[in-house]
Amino acid sequence: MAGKFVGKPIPPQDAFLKATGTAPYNYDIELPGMLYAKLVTSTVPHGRIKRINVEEALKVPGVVKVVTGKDIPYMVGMYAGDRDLLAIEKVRWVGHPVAAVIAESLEAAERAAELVDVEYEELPAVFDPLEAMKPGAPLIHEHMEKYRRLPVFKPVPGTNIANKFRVVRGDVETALKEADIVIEEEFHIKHVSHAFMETQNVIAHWHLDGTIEIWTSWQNPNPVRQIMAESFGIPYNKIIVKIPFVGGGFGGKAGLGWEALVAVLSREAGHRPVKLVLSRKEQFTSGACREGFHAFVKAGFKKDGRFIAYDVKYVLDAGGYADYTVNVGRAVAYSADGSYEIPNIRCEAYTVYTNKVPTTALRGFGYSESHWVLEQVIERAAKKLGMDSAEVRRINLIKPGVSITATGERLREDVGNPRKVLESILQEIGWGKPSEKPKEPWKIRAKGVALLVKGPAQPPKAPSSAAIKFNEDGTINLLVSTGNFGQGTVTALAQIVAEEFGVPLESVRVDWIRDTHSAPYSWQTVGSRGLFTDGIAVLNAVKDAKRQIFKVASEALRCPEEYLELVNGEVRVKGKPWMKIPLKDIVMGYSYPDGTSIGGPIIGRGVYMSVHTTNLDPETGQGHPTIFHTYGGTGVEIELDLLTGEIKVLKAVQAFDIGRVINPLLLKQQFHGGFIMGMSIALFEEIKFDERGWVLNPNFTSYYVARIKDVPPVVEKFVETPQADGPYGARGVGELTMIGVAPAIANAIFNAIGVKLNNLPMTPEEVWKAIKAQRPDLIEKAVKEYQKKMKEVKAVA
Amino acid sequence: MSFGSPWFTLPEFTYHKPKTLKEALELLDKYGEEAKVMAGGVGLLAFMKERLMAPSHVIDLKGVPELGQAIYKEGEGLTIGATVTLNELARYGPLKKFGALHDAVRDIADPIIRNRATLVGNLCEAIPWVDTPPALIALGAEVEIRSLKGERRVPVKDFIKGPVEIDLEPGELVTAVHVPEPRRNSRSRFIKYNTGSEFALVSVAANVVMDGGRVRDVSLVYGAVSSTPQVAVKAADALKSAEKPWEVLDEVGRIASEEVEAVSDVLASEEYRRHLIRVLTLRVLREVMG
Ligand SMILES: Cc1cc2nc3c(=O)[nH]c(=O)nc-3n(C[C@H](O)[C@H](O)[C@H](O)COP(=O)(O)OP(=O)(O)OC[C@H]3O[C@@H](n4cnc5c(N)ncnc54)[C@H](O)[C@@H]3O)c2cc1C
Repeated sequence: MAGKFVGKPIPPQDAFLKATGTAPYNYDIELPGMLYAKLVTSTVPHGRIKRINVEEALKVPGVVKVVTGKDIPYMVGMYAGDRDLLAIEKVRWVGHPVAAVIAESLEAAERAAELVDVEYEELPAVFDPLEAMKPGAPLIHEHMEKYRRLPVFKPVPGTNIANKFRVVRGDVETALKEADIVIEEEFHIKHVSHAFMETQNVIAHWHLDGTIEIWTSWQNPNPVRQIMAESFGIPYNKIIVKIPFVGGGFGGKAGLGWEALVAVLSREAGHRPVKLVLSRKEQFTSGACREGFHAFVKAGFKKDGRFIAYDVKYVLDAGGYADYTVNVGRAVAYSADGSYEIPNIRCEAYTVYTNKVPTTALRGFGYSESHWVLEQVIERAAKKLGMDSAEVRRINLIKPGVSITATGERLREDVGNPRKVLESILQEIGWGKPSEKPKEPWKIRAKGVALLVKGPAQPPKAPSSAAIKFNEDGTINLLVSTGNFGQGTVTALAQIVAEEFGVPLESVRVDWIRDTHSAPYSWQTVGSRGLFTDGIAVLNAVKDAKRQIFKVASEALRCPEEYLELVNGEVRVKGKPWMKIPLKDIVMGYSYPDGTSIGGPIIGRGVYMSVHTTNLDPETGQGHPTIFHTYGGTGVEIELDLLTGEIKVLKAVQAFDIGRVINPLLLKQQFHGGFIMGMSIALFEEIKFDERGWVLNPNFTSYYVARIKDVPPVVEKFVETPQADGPYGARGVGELTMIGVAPAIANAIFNAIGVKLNNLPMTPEEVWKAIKAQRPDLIEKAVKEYQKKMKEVKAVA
Repeated sequence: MSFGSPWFTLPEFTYHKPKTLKEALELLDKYGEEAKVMAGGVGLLAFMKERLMAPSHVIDLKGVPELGQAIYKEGEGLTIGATVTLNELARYGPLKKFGALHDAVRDIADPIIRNRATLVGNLCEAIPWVDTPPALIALGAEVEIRSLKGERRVPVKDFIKGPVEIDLEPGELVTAVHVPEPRRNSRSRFIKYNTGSEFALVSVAANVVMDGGRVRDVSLVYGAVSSTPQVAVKAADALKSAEKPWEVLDEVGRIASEEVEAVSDVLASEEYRRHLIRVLTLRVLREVMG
């Protein structure tokens, strides 16, 4: 159905305010009487707090209070429940908040924070998760069995393992023996930052009547409320969470934040509002980032290219707190098989505490990691088998309606068309045709491809809801609590409503502010689920509102409902378009000429509830983890400078089967934005630690993020295989667009020169080291070529 | 060296904005070690925000007119006053005669930073990976220093003593940098290798005097490799003594990469730096000898 709005490239509704610099972000908000908080953070990686001396700090004019962990001994969390608000007895990483100063001004708070003196008794620390897993390693959380966690997570008390998760299907041992070739490798990924523009910041006001008002830069208000209500034992309706414009989230504003801490600070400071803003350095050292990652794999293939056995162990370096990362440890395991049907599979994922910065979800979590491994395994196997890697992919691709995934889920018939995705990438990138030779003979060009699939990593019950509220003039307030931090979901939702009611797009407004009090519930805004889940809720709300409207119109027009239709914002009698009532004369109730009225203000409500998702078996990981699977892939053409090891992406192709395009402009933006983020993480980003766990590059001069000059042209390929239970057939895609980039680049290099790049990021130094270790001749040859070329230039001149 | 600050605010200080050089020198004399001069403030304020410096008196030089000029005199060279910004310098026509400095100045950061940051500030900041010192050393530049006690001149090469350490006594001020007139048949260039940020992993400045097909004189200076800019003497000798200098460029690069001091830090390992020295030497020599 090509609609008036659905399928059209409509600019995001918040673009104007953002582009003019007038959009109110949380950082901009100030409340009357507001105080400022500043954190004092640990300077040792692991230690017992012996003494905190706050006397000098309290002398600074303007200081209201200094709060320490002992004053507020709450444990909080979303999944693992393992975090204190401020270190209670011991610190677990350098940067662990130990105390908070509250003052009348930021200056006073900072001055006083410098004067808080903390004495530690240092404990043995452990920084490498492989070491931390060994018996006898220093214990970071001695009493993890006591934490209030979600029951699906399985910590191993007495160790540093915050969660252990397994997916087992078939008989991997036997299959490995039957395999004609076995690929055995290790892969590693360094910690990365979300690098959102707006650092985390919160205003909390614990009012005298016990109402807690929160303003925060977060992805969705409901999880914030849930964490606070559950941790404090406070009724949900006493907590009002409001989220204005958000300067980026990327998963880093999905789980546990600072709201509970700042709320308590407000209470401690005499019920005045308190604001906490993290500096960039604090964001790096006290906030949470993406975990460090290690994978150890054995993969067995038959001569004909069939992928028959996959045995993989993942170890996640979760840092001092693993709250959300235990879920990353699940996602990485149940996504191990990617877009392929692998009959025998065994993955074990360990989420492990270390004395480093804590970690959390980051766009595409788990899936980015599993695909970094899997897609390179395919490439390596193809080479060993002497086959075209595209052919190996084709042979093993899942078959809709037939194939069974690693978790034993039979894929629905309309799950998507990965085959078409693959072919469109191959065609666009010119697979099989050699790249043009670069003018500089010390450079090489190459092509690489990676496929991927992803669904939202969520519990089986994760509902959404929406409400449609009409105003006196017939305009519509669309109420949702799904977050809006750059994806543009709410614009797409408004398009759907305008389409369904036949009203102009301007007639549908979604407020800037998401709040828990007036907006209907939506579980979380994560996992690329927003348009899918909340889109269905909105469509159901439309249906509900229409039913109410037709009922009134039927009476008013004296015509059975089945003969009515809604066209261009009017209810009409089919075939007699002159017999009509504009919406505005119905939505507040219909009045007859004599003044008697029927009906009343219209509010449509609709819900989404996940269908067929289940818990996963605790021993085998079998079950249905996700509500959809979106298949896609990335193709790249790269240029490698053999002299420096620097990789430049010349061209990229992104193809995804998104079911149905609701807004091609926003979709393109996701394809481009995701590519850039994926490339940045592939080539530049890495949080570096010293041997004592200090972050060495907590800033953007030494933590590198891709710049605009690094960005190549990106070609978008939309594949549309509608899914029956999606809104207009659509599936989610937001996160997915970054997942394939890194493996596609690594595969390109491997294809061209056979050099394996097993470690992310592929910085020039890392690539140079790999070439030097595996093909030193290439570097020497490049130097010779360079000299030769110079002499030629000289001779011409 | 760590960059990045937990603090949003600066430590407390008193701000002075003298109108004459004399007034500036008097303030410096009065406050001695407690004072820091400020040119653009791009470096100083960042250091203060990180609490790496906490002067109680900040003396802003931008109100002193005599420090704000760049003057080129044929045969004598270029004198760059203490508050001349990088963009003012980049737009100053005669800078082109000083190839390496021209390259370095135009490559620093971005236009917004260059509108504010000064050449003298860049030099005095003396963090290992700033760009102008290698170029200034290759060109044989000198620093003009004043205090109430008098005036002295120091070659840039000796002025930088260590990371964030310069040859400057309390009470002293750099008034200008002087770059001598380039020698006849000379050519100089500056190249840096950076990725992901503006800061160089390795930079090199080369200043070559050609004599027919041979290299009569050459200066090779490497930045960002160690705590101070490194001059490669043996590599330069190898190039000068070569009958066919075009044949030995990689040899020169190898010698340089072994000869100079190089360190590992958060941006790059020593091993990779030494490799980049070899590669950049090839590149810069190609530029200056071509
Ligand atoms: C985002 C960013 C990117 C950057 N990229 C680059 C880059 O690519 N390349 C590069 O080289 N640099 C780079 N820098 C560093 C920047 O160029 C320097 O900080 C700047 O040039 C310093 O000049 P200023 O005039 O601001 O000095 P100020 O900050 O005013 O002073 C710096 C130091 O020198 C001292 N000082 C200044 N003037 C005098 C004087 N006349 N006498 C004695 N002492 C003096 C000050 O006391 C202070 O200690 C970057 C900085 C930033 C923030």
